[in-house]
Amino acid sequence: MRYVIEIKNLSKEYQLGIIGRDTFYRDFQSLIAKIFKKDDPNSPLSGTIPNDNSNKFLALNKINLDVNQGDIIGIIGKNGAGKSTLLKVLSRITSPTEGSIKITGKIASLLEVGTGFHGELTGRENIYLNGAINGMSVSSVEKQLDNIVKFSGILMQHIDTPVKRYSSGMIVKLGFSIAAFLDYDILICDEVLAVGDQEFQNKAINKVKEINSNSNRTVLFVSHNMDSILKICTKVVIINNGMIAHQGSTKEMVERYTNSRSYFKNYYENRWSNNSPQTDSIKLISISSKNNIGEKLKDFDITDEILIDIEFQILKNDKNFCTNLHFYRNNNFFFQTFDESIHVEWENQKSKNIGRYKQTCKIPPYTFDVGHIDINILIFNPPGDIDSSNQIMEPKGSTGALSLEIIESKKINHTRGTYPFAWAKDSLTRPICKWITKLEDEK
Amino acid sequence: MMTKKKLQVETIIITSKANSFLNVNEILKYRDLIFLLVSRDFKVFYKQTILGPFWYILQPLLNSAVFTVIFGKIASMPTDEIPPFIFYMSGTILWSYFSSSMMSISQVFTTNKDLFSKVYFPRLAVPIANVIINYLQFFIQFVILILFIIYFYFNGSSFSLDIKLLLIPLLLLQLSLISIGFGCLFASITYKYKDLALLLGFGMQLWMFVSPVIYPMSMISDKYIYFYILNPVSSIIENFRYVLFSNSDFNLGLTLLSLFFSIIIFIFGLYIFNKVEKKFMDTI
Repeated sequence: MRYVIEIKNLSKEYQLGIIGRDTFYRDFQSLIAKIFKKDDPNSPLSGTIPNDNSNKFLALNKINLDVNQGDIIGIIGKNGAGKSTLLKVLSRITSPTEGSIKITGKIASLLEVGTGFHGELTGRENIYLNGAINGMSVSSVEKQLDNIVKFSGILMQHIDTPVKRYSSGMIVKLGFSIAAFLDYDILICDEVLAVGDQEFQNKAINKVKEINSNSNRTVLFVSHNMDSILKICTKVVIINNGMIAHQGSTKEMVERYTNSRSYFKNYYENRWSNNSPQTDSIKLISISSKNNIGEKLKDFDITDEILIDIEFQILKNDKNFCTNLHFYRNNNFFFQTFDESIHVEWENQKSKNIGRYKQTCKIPPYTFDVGHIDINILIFNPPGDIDSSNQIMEPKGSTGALSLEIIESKKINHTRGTYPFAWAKDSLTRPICKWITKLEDEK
Repeated sequence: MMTKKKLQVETIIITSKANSFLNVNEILKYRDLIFLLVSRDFKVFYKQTILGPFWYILQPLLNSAVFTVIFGKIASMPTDEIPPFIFYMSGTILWSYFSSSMMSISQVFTTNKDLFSKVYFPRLAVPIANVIINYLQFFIQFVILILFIIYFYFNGSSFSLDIKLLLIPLLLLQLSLISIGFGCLFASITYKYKDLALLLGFGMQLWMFVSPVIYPMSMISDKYIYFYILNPVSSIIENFRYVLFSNSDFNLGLTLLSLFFSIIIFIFGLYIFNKVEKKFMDTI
């Protein structure tokens, strides 16, 4: 095994704001002003643009990655995480700002299906042209022509018709087929396996697997479709904010990525240092989870009691506060709230004075069913308080100040834990209910 | 599917620095692409036109006819005793070769940005293909010119076509160096400043008037001759006529200077083009 791609300290910087101005005249004006050391007539009102990093954006930030020959690497991450930028740098469309990449072998990139197709040319002419754009010689396209046409599912009598008469499905199928039969060692593709109908998609995925296993070629593959990632990838890289957040086995990475929106935080503890959420009267310090013997954890056995610790600082004397925990599942589905004072009358609540407090919410065993849970925290003053319009809601507009994983018990053999098949439907909660069955009639 | 074991393994190293500005090996590897780009442009140009390839013939014929009437008959400008129609036609076809390759190369980034943003190949393949497709156009027009020369020959004009004709490809090559050089330079500026493309169209027209297209160099007084020395195209047009008509003496000094300028322009244009092609996707 040897590395076919070695990425070292790769960074790509983009400039934010207006790039390149709009006319040559203005750039020229600025240049003249600079030469004569006058104020730039086209600079923003505040004066010259500060030469710091505030208008720079790192799309890729010190990426290091080695790829073995024969790997199928899946690259996943949120929109804007830097996946496509990485592929663009790898396929030499744009150059990096820093760092280097060493690629051993012939590389073909398929960032879009059907790039370079010309509507006026026939299918056959486009096959040759597209092959040549990707660095294939006419003679090697000729050898593969029948295979390409056959794979694309386009009838031979249509191949000499201009592609402007083709349906859009035919065009993408043809585009993918050309790429599939290109002569390369490394293939880079961006979300292109999701073209065509379901049948063609399966065919495409199998084809990628086949070229990988038959000739030990390497594939780098960006997708948001976890099914196809799971089907073909041997290894997965998660990219977040232009950095490689994690890499590892496909199944583990996909689970991490899909389960947790707050994955990139510390699981069992969220501690605010500088920018802690606060109002005039209270400041949130941390939220964490532990079990009943005090171990800070993220994964809880369903038979465990879950303890959520909330630390806060009260900034005014004689104040009443209510803490709420909101529970979400399946990316943003709100299903449960636990309210500190829901069982207490407002006037019977005890007020608190200035100081640092730690509050613990004990969640009994069997409250939640297995699976991933995101927790948000809400702290507010009861109605009537002058500060009651202020409240802490963390995080705002998304979920996951803290995340938990409830797992099937390893201590007790429940029916569910030993059930040999997949559970048909996941439920949100799993309280122990009393089931009473009586025999009423023996007939 | 079996793949042959490759003896040679390509290694690519990508860094922030630009590559050496003329990678001949890489361009040779993509020669099939150049050929297919030429054939694409050729085919697409004629699909859905009425006159097809006749456009290539019609344009210089009309131009030469108009010039003959305006500059030859009305303004009575000298043509070195060459029949005016032939004189203007020779200038026009060479100029239109130069001007149309310049124009298409100078827009190479704007017209191909969708392609350039999705797939890598040596970007210089497109300007080269542009030059070649214009060779084809020139060749067709040149054949017509020769036919006219033969026609005028049988009508009493004297011509002596000889071995010098073999120099024409060299003249064309020199003209291509200039058009690639200037075209790439303009392409590297116009992708950012779109309005310069308008300036270029207008500038090419002005340039034609300061080049000996519609008048012979012999008409220029010595006072302005230095200006013509700076214009590398003038020597090419003059030599083209010398090859065809032997109308004047061959000016070796002017030719060498023009050759020198052409090479400088070519190298400078490629240098800028190469710097820009790496980063133009981020700014277009």
